[in-house]
Amino acid sequence: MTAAVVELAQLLLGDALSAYVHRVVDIAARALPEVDAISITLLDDHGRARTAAMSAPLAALLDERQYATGFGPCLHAATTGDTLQVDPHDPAPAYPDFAALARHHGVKATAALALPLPHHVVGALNLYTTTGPLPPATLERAHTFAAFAAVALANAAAHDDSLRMADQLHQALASRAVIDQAKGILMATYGIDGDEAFTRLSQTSQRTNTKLRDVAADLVSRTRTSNPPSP
Amino acid sequence: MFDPHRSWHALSMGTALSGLPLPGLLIRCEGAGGDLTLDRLAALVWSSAPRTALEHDIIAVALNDHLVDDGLNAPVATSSDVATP
Repeated sequence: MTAAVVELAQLLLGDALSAYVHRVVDIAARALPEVDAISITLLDDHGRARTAAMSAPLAALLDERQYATGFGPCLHAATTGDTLQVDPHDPAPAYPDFAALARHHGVKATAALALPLPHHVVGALNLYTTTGPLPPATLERAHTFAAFAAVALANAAAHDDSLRMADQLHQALASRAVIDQAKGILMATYGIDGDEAFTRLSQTSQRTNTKLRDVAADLVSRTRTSNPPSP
Repeated sequence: MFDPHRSWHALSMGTALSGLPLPGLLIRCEGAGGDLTLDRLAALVWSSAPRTALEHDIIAVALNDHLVDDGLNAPVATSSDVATP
């Protein structure tokens, strides 16, 4: 387990979040070789769950069924921070539909472990085996891995958010420049102030169901080709 | 006359419809030419605080530009449509 934790710590925050999560699952699969399928459930800002990476298609299949029905062990772990084990052969399992599907695919034991941070849960680490029950030692190692993986994934998500925000800011600056140019054209053409110019552009945007920056870019383009502006 | 209550209703509904977090909406307002702070944006979207028609229009444009991408037909009214009846 030490090697896996060291490997987690050495993962670089350079790739897209999806590639990063795949690497975390790869490390988990090597650290827990007795587990046949591993996946990571992540929650988005609206609390919607998705399987961000898996080591085998079986994990995605069993995860997706839970998202479709709205409940299941990985959803429970990802939202409550609990660890949940489901024995598909239990005569009265916690999640009968999920257990039946797991049984149908030859799964002998499942566990969903929360990926916990001090103030919230990032998601869940999901384990599926087809060979027998999950030994307590395996679960203990999985818990240790989940604790470190949660921090790594939270850092990766924060890094991804920063990149996305930088990209949005870049787009916003480009958009603002062309809108300012269009306002200037209207001010010079009609002798109006900047606020009135913005109002005219925004009304055209809404009336034509066209983005403001596209309305502005069109006006700038037409002005450059010497056609008279119309908004 | 511009009605802050109708403005609030239009902007809060548009924000909920967009699913945008306030920081994301703030960046879009900047792109539309706005100069709002996060606190001011929150007050305009989530309360009937006094506001100018220009502030309303900047937020409305930022929301509509986002919602047009989702296939909606610029549903957030501009200031001229939220005048006192």
